Amino acid sequence: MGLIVNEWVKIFKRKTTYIMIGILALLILASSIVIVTTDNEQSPDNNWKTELQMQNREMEKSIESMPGEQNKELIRKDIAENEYRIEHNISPAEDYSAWSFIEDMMQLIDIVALLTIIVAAGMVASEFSWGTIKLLLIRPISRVKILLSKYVVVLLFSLAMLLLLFIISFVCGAIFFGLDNPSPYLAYADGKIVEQNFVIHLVTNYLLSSIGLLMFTTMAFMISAAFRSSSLAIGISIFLLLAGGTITTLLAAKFEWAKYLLFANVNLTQYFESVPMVEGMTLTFSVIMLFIYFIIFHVISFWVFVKRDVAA
Amino acid sequence: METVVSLSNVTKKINNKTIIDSISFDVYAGEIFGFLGPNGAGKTTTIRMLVGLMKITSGDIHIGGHSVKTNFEDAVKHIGAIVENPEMYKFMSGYDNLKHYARMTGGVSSERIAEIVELVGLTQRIKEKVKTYSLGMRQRLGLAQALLHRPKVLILDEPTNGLDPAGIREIRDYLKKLAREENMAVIVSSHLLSEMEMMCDRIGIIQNGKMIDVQNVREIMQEDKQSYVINAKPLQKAYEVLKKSFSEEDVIVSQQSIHIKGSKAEIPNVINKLVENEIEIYQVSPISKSLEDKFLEITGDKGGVA
Ligand SMILES: Nc1ncnc2c1ncn2[C@@H]1O[C@H](COP(=O)(O)OP(=O)(O)O)[C@@H](O)[C@H]1O
Ligand SMILES: [Mg+2]
Repeated sequence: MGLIVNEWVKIFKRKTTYIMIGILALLILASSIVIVTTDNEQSPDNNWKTELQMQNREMEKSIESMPGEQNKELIRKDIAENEYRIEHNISPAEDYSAWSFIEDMMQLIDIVALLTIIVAAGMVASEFSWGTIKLLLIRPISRVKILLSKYVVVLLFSLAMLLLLFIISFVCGAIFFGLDNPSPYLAYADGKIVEQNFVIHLVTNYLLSSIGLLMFTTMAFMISAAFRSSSLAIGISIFLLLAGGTITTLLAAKFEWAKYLLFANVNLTQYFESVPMVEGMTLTFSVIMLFIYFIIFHVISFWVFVKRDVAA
Repeated sequence: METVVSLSNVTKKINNKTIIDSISFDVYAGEIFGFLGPNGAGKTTTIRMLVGLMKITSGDIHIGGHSVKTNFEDAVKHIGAIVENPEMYKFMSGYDNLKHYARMTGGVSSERIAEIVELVGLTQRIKEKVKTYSLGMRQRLGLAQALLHRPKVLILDEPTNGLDPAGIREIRDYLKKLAREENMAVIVSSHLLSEMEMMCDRIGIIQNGKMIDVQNVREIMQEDKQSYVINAKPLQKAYEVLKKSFSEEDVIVSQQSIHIKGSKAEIPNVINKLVENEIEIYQVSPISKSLEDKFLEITGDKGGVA
């Protein structure tokens, strides 16, 4: 469809897009170099079993004084993992491969989110600030279709950036750390450790981590369409992306309603890897909450965009 | 004459303030319609409603028979427009901009794009980024964008703003050509009367959101009383004669000539009377009363031309 091509072209005709992609690639490359150089300093440790036992004793001591159920659970997970390693003779220092690197680079999904938020925030607001919105909306195409095409392109762009993160990480990882078969991932569920295929673990985690990206990008898009200000959209979305988790944790300690906040629900990995942010939350609850937020964002952006007069 | 654009009792209120007050007029195929009014009169607001950028509070607008209110897509299909400045994507080439709009209309081939680029005289620079274009070139690219899909009506909001006299002349000739040769209806807004006078067939004068008058350009010049200068000998005798057929304030005698105010129809009669009285006439000619005065007269003091 022509509209989607148009929006895509408009993103990729701009230098800033390439600068953002360049920054992402550079970050990955820098990380791989840092890991390679620090990794070499670590001499192969034959006493890893006794070391893990010592770690576990330390952690067991600290677990009582640790505040917050989520943090306690994280320590319990580490202890269980160490025990499993000792039992099954799986060294933690074992072959850091491209796969492990991709896993580490998953932290950069927040950076990707930053980039997609910037693009989403400009999607509607820029047309207003450029004045091009006037020539865009006097075509025989409904405003709903125009906004929809813009949102679809935001999704495609996010997907492309995630794919890029994955591919660049894979290439850098393969170059610096080799393509060994990954050792199984040690997943923790219900107090037990289960072995999992590492690639499946990677892909699911990638997708789960991208839900936050999707929600915050959609929010930026909504603010952009409703308030026509890209700086407002970027400011609010990035602030909430970075600080939302902390705010929710603080609120969750005092108020039960904190679980209805967007940030309490965006991190779905909490149900697979640890315990929920607020007690009593379930995966279904979070999925429903995310869905509701998603719908609200879209109703607001479409309603305002279609209704309002263009006086720019 | 085919009516292409029809406004009926169009009203726009913003925050309960009436910006456009029940405007009605028609524009026909093949004519250039001037939309004239001082700054802030409501020209741009009316044009925004015409092209669907602003909702119509009450009344309706039909383009090619389709209501902008209820059948937006069919109505706007016939419109090509530039609303205020021709703002394009500066980071793309002129050609990419045109392709962008071509994708939104359908039925625009690359041959058509090339043809229109040639027509507006941008062939040399069309592959360059729009940010390198001069205002005149942007204006031409704006025209190209508006004409791509062969619209029935072309709407330009103050197209000559910021252009030099040569550019203004170019636009004027081009619009005339479009109206005559392509039978297009052209709506042009401006706050400058002299310009409208030269390019339009009809002019609608708007002030404070109200349509004050719609007139044929040539009618405006002829219908009312106009000033004439008469050179005759003997002057005093001529004055005596004229005083009989005109009221006091319409005849003014100066040292070499007499000024009279009257309609064109009266002139032969005046000449006859002077001849009958054996007065030698050297010259009878109209003092071109520019539309500007007329405009000021109609809009009064409040609507001073900026
Ligand atoms: N979005 C708006 N909100 C409030 N008033 C407006 C808006 N747009 C235009 N106006 C007012 O409407 C009047 C007509 O403006 P406009 O149509 O731009 O005039 P013109 O194009 O003839 O110079 C002006 O008094 C202006 O202040
Ligand atoms: Mg205006």
